[in-house]
Amino acid sequence: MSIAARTSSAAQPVIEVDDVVHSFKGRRALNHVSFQVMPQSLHGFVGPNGAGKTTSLKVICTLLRPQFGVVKVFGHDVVDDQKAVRRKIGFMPDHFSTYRQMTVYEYLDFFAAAYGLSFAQRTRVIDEVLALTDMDGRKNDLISGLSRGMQQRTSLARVLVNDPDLLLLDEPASGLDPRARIELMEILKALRSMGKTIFISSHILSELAELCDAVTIIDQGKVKYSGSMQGLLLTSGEHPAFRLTVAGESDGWAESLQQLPGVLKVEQIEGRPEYRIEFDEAQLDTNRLLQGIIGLNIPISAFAEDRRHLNEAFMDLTERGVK
Amino acid sequence: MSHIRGEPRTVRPRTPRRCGNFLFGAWRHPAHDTEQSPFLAQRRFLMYYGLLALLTRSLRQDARQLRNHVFRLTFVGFIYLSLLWATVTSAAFGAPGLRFFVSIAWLNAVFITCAGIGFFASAITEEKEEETIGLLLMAGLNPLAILLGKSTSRLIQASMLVVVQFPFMLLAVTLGGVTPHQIISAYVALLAFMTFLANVALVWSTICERSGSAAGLTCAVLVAYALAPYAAPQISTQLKEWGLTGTSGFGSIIHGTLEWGADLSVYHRLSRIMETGFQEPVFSQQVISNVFGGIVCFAFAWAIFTPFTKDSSGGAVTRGMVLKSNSRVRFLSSGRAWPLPLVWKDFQFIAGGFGFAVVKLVAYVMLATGLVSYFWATVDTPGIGVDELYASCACCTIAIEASILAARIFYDEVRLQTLSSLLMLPRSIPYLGYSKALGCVMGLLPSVGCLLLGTILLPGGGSRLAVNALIDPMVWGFVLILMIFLHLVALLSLFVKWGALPLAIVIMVPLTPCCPIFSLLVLVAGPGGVRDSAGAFPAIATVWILIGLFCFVFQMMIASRLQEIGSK
Repeated sequence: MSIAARTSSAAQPVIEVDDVVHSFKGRRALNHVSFQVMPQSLHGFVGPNGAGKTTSLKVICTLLRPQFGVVKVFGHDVVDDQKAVRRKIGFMPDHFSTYRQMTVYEYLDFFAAAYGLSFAQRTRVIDEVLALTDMDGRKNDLISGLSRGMQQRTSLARVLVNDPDLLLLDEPASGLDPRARIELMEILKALRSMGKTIFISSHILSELAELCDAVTIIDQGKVKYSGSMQGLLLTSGEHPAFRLTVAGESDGWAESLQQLPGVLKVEQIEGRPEYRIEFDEAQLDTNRLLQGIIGLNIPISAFAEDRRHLNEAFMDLTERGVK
Repeated sequence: MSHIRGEPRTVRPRTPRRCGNFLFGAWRHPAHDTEQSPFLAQRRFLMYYGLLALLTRSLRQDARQLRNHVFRLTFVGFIYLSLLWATVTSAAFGAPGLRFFVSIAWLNAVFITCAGIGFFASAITEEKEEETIGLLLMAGLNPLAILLGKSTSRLIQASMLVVVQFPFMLLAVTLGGVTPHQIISAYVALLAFMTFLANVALVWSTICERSGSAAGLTCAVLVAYALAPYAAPQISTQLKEWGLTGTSGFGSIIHGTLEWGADLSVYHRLSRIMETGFQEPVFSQQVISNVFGGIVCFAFAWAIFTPFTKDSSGGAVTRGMVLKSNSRVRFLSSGRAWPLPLVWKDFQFIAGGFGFAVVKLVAYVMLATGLVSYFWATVDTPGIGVDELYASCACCTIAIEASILAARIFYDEVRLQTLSSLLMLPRSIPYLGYSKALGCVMGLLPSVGCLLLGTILLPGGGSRLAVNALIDPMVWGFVLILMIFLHLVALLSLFVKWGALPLAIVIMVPLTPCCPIFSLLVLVAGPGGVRDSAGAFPAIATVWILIGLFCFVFQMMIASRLQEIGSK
């Protein structure tokens, strides 16, 4: 395959959700939902309870047929080419979905065999996924005797036995203690570094903000935002901004800052010695802005990029949260 | 926070609300009451009345749910239709009232036995399986309140089903052949039996962790209960032969108990009630012993409730006799998954694996040997040979085992929420379903092996019997009924949390005789039907087509339901 062809293949979205509608008993769970997930990205999927996250995931992983619209995974239609889609994905539902009477090894061996792996392949793959999820010491334990975090890891190991290119994880960190959550996130980072595409639905926004390259926010069955995490966290969504905190008296600095070339807008934050400076990237970069401020002899106490937290973005974009 | 600083608190009594489970709202911890409280007596009354909180709630819920009334109405409708049929055919047969009464009374007995086992045995185990028993205790309900609410309410609900028939049954008197005394006696006997059954099941439900185990043990008690009238006189005679007569104090107690035991069974009692000229009192030994037994069982369940529910493991799944794959006894371990992994999983974890298969095989061989030896030694029944008896017993065992496996085939998948993971495999739903069925069928191999072994080894033409059975359309007709039943059980297990098997019995037993399938079967395989006019093979072929058709319809419904549950 030529480099150009490979580049073009790499740029093709892994998941393409186009104008999908799905209703349950007259209630529209997905209302013309469209978004894309790019390859080798860690894409967060965020929304309030009942927003349509799980329904979207189930449509993508072929468990639900979309009533309208098209969903493609690696270019395969989820309705017409279910088996091809299922071979390429691993879906971890929001419950453990484990056979509690089995040992961890039996459980993984069963699923590996169900994916058609040979005896030798199974032995190798199971050892690998046990090592990756740090479960090799517990492989002969009954699943019913494992902690929540361990069961979640077992579930993740199960998803990995067929070496899927795309992982769909529905609330993988729910109900886990902080340590188990951090460990799970570390495993996800490791998986991303292996080139897997991960589509993760979660409520833990701080971790998503740190982990994800892209995010889709959904509310009441409608996509409110889908794109890069960077883009979402920009305050206005158009121009970069910085926050400047001044030591001592704050009066009078706004006019001086406004005079700097490339500065578009300066706002003082609620009477505090703090200014929000929005600037035009084309005319000014961060270095020159900072030099300009120093040149005004302003006693700088702090200077930082003005980014919204994901929580704020989420609250702004989802209606019920702010009502 | 005045009470923290030690200032006296004014305790304002809460007035009970007149809706929902108001009694929870009225309950207060006794430590909050003071001697001076004018409402102390009222509160104490409410606390004791709180015993009935769950019972009241269950009964109210039952009264409000439309489906319960529809079910009772359907049952009454069925009785009405039977009455109508008896009236229509009254010219052709003698004593139509008695015939009608006999059929309905036996139908009730079978219904209570089969459906009651599952219905009553899950009273406490369902709370254990849902891990909600601790929540009930934390809500301030004591064991007695829980037992009343969970079991007695079910007894009342089931009794309603019997009581509602009574006015219709009295119409049988006008048809002739039966007296009101017989009808009253029969219904009192049935209600007493139901009390006994409900409370025996309650004891096992309190002891066991899972509904299946509780139902199985209740079933075992019922077998002993049904055999008591036949076993008690023989035991009594045997004891007298050994010198333990009824004249001594201990002997009189033993023989007195055995006499009561002979009258314990409702089946025995119903047979006597249906005899012409029945004049025995309504409150017979059966009624008294059954009600007394029920009360004793309830008290026993109350006494053992706390120790048996304190450390409930929430109906944890067990591996039965299957050892871990790293066990040294490799034969009893599950080993590695087979190339057909679902067959492996269901054989090991639903059918019990190799270990359980060996245990079953040994048990069946011993039972079969005992049965055949006893039959040869004692029975000399004309018209039935040991080979026929053996084959019937083996077929019944296979049918019972198959029914239990059909109830379990999807049970764990639904309970453990693993269907979504299975459906995500790159396999079709029929592949998943047939693989699971094959795994369960492997669990039937010991009983099928015993049947084949007996057919080959038994003298008296076992192989001839097998060939005759294979070319008999009626035998295939029974296979059809069994297949429909098994599919129905599997389908129902995808709709109900527990009791798919008894529910299927409830649906099949009264419906089968009046179902079009049964009429069609009689037309095809019965005397005077296709068999007589066109020969056995066309009739068998027709039955096969029917089997295929009905299995296909049921399997489509099962597949659709599996998809629905998996995507929930």
